[in-house]
Amino acid sequence: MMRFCRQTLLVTANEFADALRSRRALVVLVLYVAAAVLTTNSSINLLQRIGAELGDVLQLESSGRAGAVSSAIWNSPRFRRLVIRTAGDDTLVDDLLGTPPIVLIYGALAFFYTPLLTVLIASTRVAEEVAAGSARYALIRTSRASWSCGKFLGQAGLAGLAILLGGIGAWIVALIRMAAEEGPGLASGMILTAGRAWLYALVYVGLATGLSHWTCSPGRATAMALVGLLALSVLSWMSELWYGRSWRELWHLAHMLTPQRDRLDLWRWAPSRFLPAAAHLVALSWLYLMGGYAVLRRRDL
Amino acid sequence: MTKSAISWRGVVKRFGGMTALDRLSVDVPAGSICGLVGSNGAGKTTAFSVAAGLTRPDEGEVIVFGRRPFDPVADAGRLTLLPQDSELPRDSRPRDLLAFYGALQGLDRRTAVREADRLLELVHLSDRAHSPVRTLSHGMRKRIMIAQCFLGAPEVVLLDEPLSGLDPREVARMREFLIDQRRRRTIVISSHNLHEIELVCDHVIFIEHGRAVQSGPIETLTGRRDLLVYELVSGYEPDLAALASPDDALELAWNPATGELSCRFDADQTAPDEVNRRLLPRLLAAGAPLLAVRRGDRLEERYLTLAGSSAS
Repeated sequence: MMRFCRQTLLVTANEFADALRSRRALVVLVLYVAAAVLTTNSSINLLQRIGAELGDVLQLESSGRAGAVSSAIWNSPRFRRLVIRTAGDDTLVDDLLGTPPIVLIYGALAFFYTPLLTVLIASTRVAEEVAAGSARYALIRTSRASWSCGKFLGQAGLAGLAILLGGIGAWIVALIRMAAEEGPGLASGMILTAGRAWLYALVYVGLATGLSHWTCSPGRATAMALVGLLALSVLSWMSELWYGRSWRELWHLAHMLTPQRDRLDLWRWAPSRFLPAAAHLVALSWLYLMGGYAVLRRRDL
Repeated sequence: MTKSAISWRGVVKRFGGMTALDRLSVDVPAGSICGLVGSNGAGKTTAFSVAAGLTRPDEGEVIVFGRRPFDPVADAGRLTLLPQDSELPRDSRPRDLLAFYGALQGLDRRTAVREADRLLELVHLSDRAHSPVRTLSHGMRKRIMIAQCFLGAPEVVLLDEPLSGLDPREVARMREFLIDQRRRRTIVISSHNLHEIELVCDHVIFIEHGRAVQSGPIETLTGRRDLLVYELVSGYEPDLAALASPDDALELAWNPATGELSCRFDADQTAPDEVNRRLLPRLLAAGAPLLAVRRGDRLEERYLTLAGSSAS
């Protein structure tokens, strides 16, 4: 077991370093951070405009500080009642409204873009190495299980780095554009959000890495991962739409295979809701990875 | 009895309808440098892949170190492989990559880095230790691929076409290096370059259609032990009756196609120089235009004879 863990860690470290050196990963990483920065900036502009207009409607005190109006709206009882009526879930709304708006915007961005980011980067790695034959050099020195796990963990590390860098970029923009005293609160909010997005992204890392075990063509692996990404969204949508009594309860099982099921629970502060969601996402990521490993285990290299 | 480092035992491997290995059964003596010779598609690469655990046999097994099939975890670093047509990770740096492989096979971090440095020096690539693999030439990458086989102290090294793609100077250096490894470890070399095999190996396995058609010490197979070949100018035909002497017990044969006179003798009774001492004066006295004398057949001739009979 110790040897398995050591070898997995070695593959993880090597995979992380190699992925960072890859041009494709670098380009996607830069694009992701740029998207985070630009979206945060645009969102602040939008928030300030909406803030000014809503401030008039809700008769809030105006402030000279950028972002102060939106924060005031966020904390106003009237706005809170409005959102609770819309969402229909008091506890979730409380948790969401306890988060600074700019952090929520970064969270939405991270939850939307990170699956795509991880699918684009992680999907090629295993297929590429098997196709080029470079996997053979490692696989005569370690088990296929530790190699697969290391590949997955390395990619998970890369996704974490991307999300963190995106969060730092968004935080710096928010710090420049919004009230400076909100900096520490925003930073902790960004870190927590990055952690949530990373947990969510893990499933897609598992999916992309797992599917990458199925083929020797990096292009096909990416196509398969993109289809997989789309399929999970469609499956989640269908299972939410068609879930019902008798046989329709089967859609509940289908929903359990999608990360979307846990997306909102990740925003809750109550450990009884957050921890099962996080555990489910981690389990799901390993399930998808193991689907790929099952193919690699029997495969001739 | 010689101990075997690797034994293929009735190994069958099929890819779809094609049988790559057809009950391959052959042993590689421990400590030898063994050449694996065969035509394209004969099954050499598959034989290596099965031995290294990268390909699963449909039937049979390959026993390494005299015990059981190779296990990449339990036996990590004891058997290494230079696979054919396998590129190194493009974005890696040679030093990091070799240190990673070393660590993966159980070396501690410091030793792995030291080993990486030693091997990069051995293959004359110390100055490119930190260059991305994608920026290296084909020959340089090949040298790193060979270097990774000698990380730590492997007992068995499988080299698939190790010298192809290297420049002549590197071929000569690598040949010297491989010869120097004799008896320290078992090396199996798959190659189409029979001249190199002849220079480096002391044991040879001929493989055709997934089966071992012949194997043994190179001296025995080429007749180096009990055969002298005299190369004569083409067009000249020696009179065998005049050259033979009933006291010698030498078996003379003339091959007009190659212009070679072969002389087989009982190596237990007569030393090769003794045969020369007797036969050469007779040849020269008969006016034979002698060009060269060598011990045994060329491996290529031996292979072509075998491949011809195997094909028919």
